[in-house]
Amino acid sequence: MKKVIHFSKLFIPFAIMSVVIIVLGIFGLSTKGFNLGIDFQAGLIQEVAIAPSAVELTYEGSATVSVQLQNTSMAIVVSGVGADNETFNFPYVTYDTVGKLVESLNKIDDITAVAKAPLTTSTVGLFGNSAVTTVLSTTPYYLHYTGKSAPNVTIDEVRQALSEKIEGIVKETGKTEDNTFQIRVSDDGSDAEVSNNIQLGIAAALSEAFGADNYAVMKTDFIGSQFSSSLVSQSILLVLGALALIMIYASIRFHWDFAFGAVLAVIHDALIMITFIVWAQLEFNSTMIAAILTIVGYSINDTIVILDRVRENQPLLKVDSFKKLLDISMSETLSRTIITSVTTLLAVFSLYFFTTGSMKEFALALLIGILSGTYSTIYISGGFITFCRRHWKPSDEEKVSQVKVVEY
Amino acid sequence: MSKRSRFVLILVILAVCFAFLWPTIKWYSNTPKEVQALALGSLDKIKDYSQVQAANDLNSLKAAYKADNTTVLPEEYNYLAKEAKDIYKVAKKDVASPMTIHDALVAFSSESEALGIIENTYRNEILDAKDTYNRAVKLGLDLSGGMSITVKADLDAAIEQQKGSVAVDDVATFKEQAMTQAIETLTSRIDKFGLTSPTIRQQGEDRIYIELPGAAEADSINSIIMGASVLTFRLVDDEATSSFNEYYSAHPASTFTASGELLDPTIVPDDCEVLGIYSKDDYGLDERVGYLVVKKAIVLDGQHVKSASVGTDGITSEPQVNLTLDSEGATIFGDFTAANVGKSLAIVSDTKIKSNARIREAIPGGQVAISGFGLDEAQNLQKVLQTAWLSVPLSVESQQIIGASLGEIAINQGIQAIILGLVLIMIFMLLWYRGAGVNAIVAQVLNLFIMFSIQSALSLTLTLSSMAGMILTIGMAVDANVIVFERIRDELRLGKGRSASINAGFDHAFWAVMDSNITTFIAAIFLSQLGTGAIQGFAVTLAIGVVSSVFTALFVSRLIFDFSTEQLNRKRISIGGRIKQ
Repeated sequence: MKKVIHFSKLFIPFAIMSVVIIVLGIFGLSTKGFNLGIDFQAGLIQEVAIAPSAVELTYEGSATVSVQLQNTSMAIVVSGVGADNETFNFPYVTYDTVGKLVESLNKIDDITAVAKAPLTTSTVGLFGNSAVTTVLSTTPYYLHYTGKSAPNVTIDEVRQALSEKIEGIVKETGKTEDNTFQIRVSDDGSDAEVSNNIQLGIAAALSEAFGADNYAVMKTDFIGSQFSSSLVSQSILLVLGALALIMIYASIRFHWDFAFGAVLAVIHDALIMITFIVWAQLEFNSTMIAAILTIVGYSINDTIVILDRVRENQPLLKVDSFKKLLDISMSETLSRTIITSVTTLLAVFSLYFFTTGSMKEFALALLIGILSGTYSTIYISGGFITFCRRHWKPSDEEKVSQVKVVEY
Repeated sequence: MSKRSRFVLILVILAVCFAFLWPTIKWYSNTPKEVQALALGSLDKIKDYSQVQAANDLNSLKAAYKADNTTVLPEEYNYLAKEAKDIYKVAKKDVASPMTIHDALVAFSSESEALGIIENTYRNEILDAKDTYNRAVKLGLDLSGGMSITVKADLDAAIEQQKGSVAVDDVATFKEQAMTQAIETLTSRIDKFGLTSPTIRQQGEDRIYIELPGAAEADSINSIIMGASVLTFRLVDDEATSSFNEYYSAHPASTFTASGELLDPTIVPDDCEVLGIYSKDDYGLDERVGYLVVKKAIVLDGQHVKSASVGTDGITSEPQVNLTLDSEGATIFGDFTAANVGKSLAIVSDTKIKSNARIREAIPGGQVAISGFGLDEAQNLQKVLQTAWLSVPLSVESQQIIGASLGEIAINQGIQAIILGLVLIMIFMLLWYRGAGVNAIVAQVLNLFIMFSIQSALSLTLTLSSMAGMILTIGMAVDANVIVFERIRDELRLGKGRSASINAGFDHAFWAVMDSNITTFIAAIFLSQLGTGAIQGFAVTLAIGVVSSVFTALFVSRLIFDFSTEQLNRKRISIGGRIKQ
């Protein structure tokens, strides 16, 4: 027989601890507030790389010729009328320098490639400007490079360049030699073409300071002022809707106090996560809402299995208080509770390990959520149900029908 | 159910899943990039391409025949030989095998029939690829790079502008028409750009969502969206049109650039431009039927059109479109038509010529009748003329541009995370449950496969967040196996034998697995209703994963246990936990 762990002894201290943590969270929320992401704060975030161009490409024919850049190779795809349809692949293993690449690119009909960087520059990591089309035309398309061989640009130079045209906040992202910067400009909702105007402003400022072919936009995010407000209220409504439905389902399958205990645990986990997000100042965006909602799903799953065991044990066990019934059922399912947390944590850990940016923060929030979900399954929902059934007595029928003997 | 029928059922499900997955595999690993580029292009481009290729092919066949009149038809034209054979069969003539070029070509009644067959073959090849793409899992913007824009239409302002006119009497219909119109205008402008497979759809009552995978020209797209829809009347230059058409038929492949500009602008007069003339095809899509050279100067701005209706000519009872112009428009139009009797006037919507009518006489007074077409065309034209007053102010509400290189980094991150997660979970399950762990591993691998193929079947978009959903689902889905295994261990501890433990374990675990997964499923379904794409992808993946994990844990894993009990005669069960058996 498995040993029974007396979880119920710690119900009260842990309930107090949870309340304290959540109060701290509410306190943090009212003093520090969320570090709101672009989803909730109107404006534009642009990530730019101040990177010199390595290759200039132009095309003078009538076919559709596009450039596809990958980490380890580049391809020129020729399609449509006016040329033989063909894909030219340039793996960087063979075409390891700009010189070799340019030489071969020039062999394709109607394409002119000009090396703008030293011919020995490595081709690995060449990238393009995401804000321009990859279909080649007489307007030059540039491949950029960064790294140790490229001149370093400081954040002050970028700030200086922008200061006259754009009122924004500049942050450096990534490694120093990458020269990537994040520019954030807020939107007050006064200008209908604000997205375009800010982008043009940044482009103009950067090309004036660094040259038109020496920077590349990596990523742009714009959320207008009318858009950002509806997401929070929508999420809250959906969470409430989901909880209500889960509550109904669990009430039918179990009993209302079981259902309420499970839902309480879920709400507890969501609040713990919010506390963590506030105090760690993670960016609060739609991905974070997804993280919270995931934990809603995870935590309810975790709790239901224990409740299921309690229900099953109820007619089988000879116990005089509900507390004992719960302790026994939880001990029996403990290894499952732990194993499931471990496997889910392994999954989240690998997500945390490989991703960057908002996905990493998503994984981090999940990590906390899973730990909290496991803990609340035992202590919060268990505590609540014990409290509801503190006057519980086994029915006469149950007393006679004991099948299972457990040492308490 | 007997083991055999369970096994067959599993095989059938896996086969169906594979069939769902097939278009995805075919598109990403089996379709050359240049075919992908063609298939993702607009229908106009596909048409141009197949026409030009067909003409080239036919010319080279004719040249080969001229050089040597006994040349055998090359193998790549087997489809042509097949058609020719069918014709010979109907005519009850014998054909020599192998067929020569001459035999193949004379089978057809005209050169254009043969040309049509070659053209169709090219076209079908590309349309097949397009179809494959439509059924494949698409990469979301965060993985493929590209741009998405949400545009808000200010319908209230549009109604305000039109106050008092007949069009806004029914507000609901007006809004609907205005949105359809706005979407159609945006679609045709974006198509003109030749961007790959744009997605344009209405979101809610007054929003339009546009997605352009790959890369995009941020500033020109912005001007595309912000530019008001323009309807103009312009004079056709007949002389330049005929000389252009002559040039075009001589140089079909080298007249236009990829974005539709003239490669050699000097072939038309300076004050003119070449525009396509369009009509609706059988599917209601715009189809280009030819080119006209029109003057750049605008005769009349569409804003002067006050109303348009379809009627019939009093005498010939042919359908016609009646326009009413405002007083300023009436004066301009009256003077212009008086001076240009006998010439043609084109009605241009943005950059597409929608109608082209000859001016028979001077039209003073602002009542214009256009005729010379069927009822369908008249109705289409009437719709086009509506754009004149259905102009809705648009504004960009959200915009996202992601560089293709960032997309590739994201794909790699997602794949690495899935692999590492899966491997860690596998190792853990093997260490903890020993032999039974293998069972769980099979279940999880199948899970991943089923999840991915259902995504493919539903044509969902794969994003980094749905990849996160997959890996997380695997982590959570193992739970169903864990519940069952723990139960089996419990039964073993009670001293039961292998098959009794397995049976009791699965029976006892059934409702625990169902209850916990149904509640998670409810949460996932609600989550998927949340507006933004990233969360949706994640939630749908989670919901699919929950269903497939119940299937693999209760059904597949059970079968594996039963199989090794009965077929392999296992008496014990390797499930860890130091249980004496």
